[in-house]
Amino acid sequence: MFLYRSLPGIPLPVLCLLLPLAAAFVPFGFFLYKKIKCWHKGADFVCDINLRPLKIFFIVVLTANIILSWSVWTGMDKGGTELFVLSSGGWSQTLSPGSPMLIKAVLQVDVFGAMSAFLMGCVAFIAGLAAMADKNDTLNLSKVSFFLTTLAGIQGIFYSGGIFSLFFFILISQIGASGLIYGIIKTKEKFRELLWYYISRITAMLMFLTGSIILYYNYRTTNIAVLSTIIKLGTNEKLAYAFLVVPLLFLFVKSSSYVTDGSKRVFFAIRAQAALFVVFRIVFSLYGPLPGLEKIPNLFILLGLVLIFVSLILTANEKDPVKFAEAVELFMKGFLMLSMGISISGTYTAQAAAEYGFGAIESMVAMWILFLPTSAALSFVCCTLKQQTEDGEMWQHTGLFRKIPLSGAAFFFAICVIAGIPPFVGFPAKQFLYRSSSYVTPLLTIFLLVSAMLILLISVRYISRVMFGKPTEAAEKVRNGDIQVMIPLIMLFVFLFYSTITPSLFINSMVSPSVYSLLNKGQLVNAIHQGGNSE
Amino acid sequence: MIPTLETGYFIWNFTAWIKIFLLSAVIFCFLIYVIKKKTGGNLISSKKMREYGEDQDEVISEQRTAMLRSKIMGPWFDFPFLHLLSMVLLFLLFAVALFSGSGVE
Repeated sequence: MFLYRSLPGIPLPVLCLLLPLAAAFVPFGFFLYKKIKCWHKGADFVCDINLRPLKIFFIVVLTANIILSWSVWTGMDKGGTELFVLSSGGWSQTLSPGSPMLIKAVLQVDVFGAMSAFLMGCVAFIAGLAAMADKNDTLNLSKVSFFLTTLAGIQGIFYSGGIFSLFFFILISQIGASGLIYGIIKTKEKFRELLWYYISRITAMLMFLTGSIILYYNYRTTNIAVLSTIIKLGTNEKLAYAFLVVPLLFLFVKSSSYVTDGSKRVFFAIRAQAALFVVFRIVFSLYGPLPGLEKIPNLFILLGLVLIFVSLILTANEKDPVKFAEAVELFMKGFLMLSMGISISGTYTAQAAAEYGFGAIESMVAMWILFLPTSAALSFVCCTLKQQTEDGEMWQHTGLFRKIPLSGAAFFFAICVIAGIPPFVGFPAKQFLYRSSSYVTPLLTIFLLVSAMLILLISVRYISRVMFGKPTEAAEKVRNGDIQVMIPLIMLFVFLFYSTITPSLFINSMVSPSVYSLLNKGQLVNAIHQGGNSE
Repeated sequence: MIPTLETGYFIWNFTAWIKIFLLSAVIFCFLIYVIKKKTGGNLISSKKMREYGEDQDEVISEQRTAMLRSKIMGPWFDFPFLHLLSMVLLFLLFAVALFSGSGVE
């Protein structure tokens, strides 16, 4: 009855969360219904389903998700934060001063989270379109269900204000992602084969939970805004820091296994982006530049350098397109990690912040936004190159540009964005980082410039080896190679192209408000205690 | 093209940065041209290329990179418990950065 009464005033972010979560259970419910029906009749279980209604249902949910997340984003003030509290009187957005109500805030949405949710919704829609067009691995009930579960989990991560709720949504997205990679495990042999995978994921979840419990035990709250105003760095807090950050960093770097399905790879990229979002929240919004964390920036810079170095080695002589895409993604992750280190070091003093700190954070957020569309474009192209032909796989041939021109162009565009070549949108994102890194040491700037140049050369050589030259006999017989990913690639191209020709708009509408809300450490709580309302 | 790039904190001269990059690209292209001319069409000197045979696709640096990947990095990537190991390693690194006393004041 209470739930029924609270339905009419349900806020948009809550609806945004409930929609994919509820939709994920619909295919599962249908599956159970069919199973019970077969069991009742005593017949063998066959889950036959008409694909058309399933596809329509899937696309309607993804479209509704875009519209809702867009409404949430556009409804936010620049750099503002909104609370959504469910109490006995229904939904409200106000809190009284001095009350412990903040702890009970169901959702806490800021511009960074709202923008991320919208961006993710768009890319999920694009991935959904690609999944529907895929003829090699057609859409089925479990695939739709796992896609939507992952989507709901990630949506929740972007709208969460507490560490416990973050844990809950990370767990949901992990269930969805594991299901997408390996499906439903039915045999003991398969389970044994994947034992180490499950152990590592369970360990990651348990580590995050341990960090959350340590903070709750010490402060009786896990709300990030509240914690940021009262946290003092002791042994417990340091331990919690490591427990919270390490599993998410791992999930960010190793977001997926070897998968040749483009749409699934895009969902794993979404998940990697969400994992880094949680790290941002913990590092910048929760802890910030506390005394005692001075060595953390150096560690992030070191990890970034290692990732860039490893990615250059992995791409140098790689032939397999999916592995190549993974290695290029690793390069982007290295840059992100490094920019995070410089950003943290730039927030310790006002002078450092003014000189390079804010520039580094803006660069970090800009690269973080671009990570998803570029890795999605790479995934689609590289999975297209994995298609079977009469004589091996497509990437084993030459002269493919005439057969898959769109893939070739999208690959080139994505690489230029990743390498930060002007005038592509990666350039404004990276120039802040180059400037900031020179404050740490000019050697770092030179390393970054040289590595960007190397990744560009390696990638251009890779794509020209496949696309140009005399077409092989089997390559001549390839038909409509990139027709399946044509619409998704065009949509990604539109986003990247639009950001390229209007870099100011990209920075001002997406990056700057996100940076402001990311650094809006505890100001919401202070405003409540001083003024009375969340507004 | 927009000449300046304004953010919440800085205003950048966008065209000036592009000029710097284009100048770097021109210098880079010129260097490549000179190297190619001196080594008879190859980035590796013709003398070294003869040592490894003319019909070889991969130059020495690529062979070394491939060896580094297959002999040193490959076995690590094949470990079934690599994910767990990397998490433990990451945790240790963070523990050292958080709890070690010496170094930064």
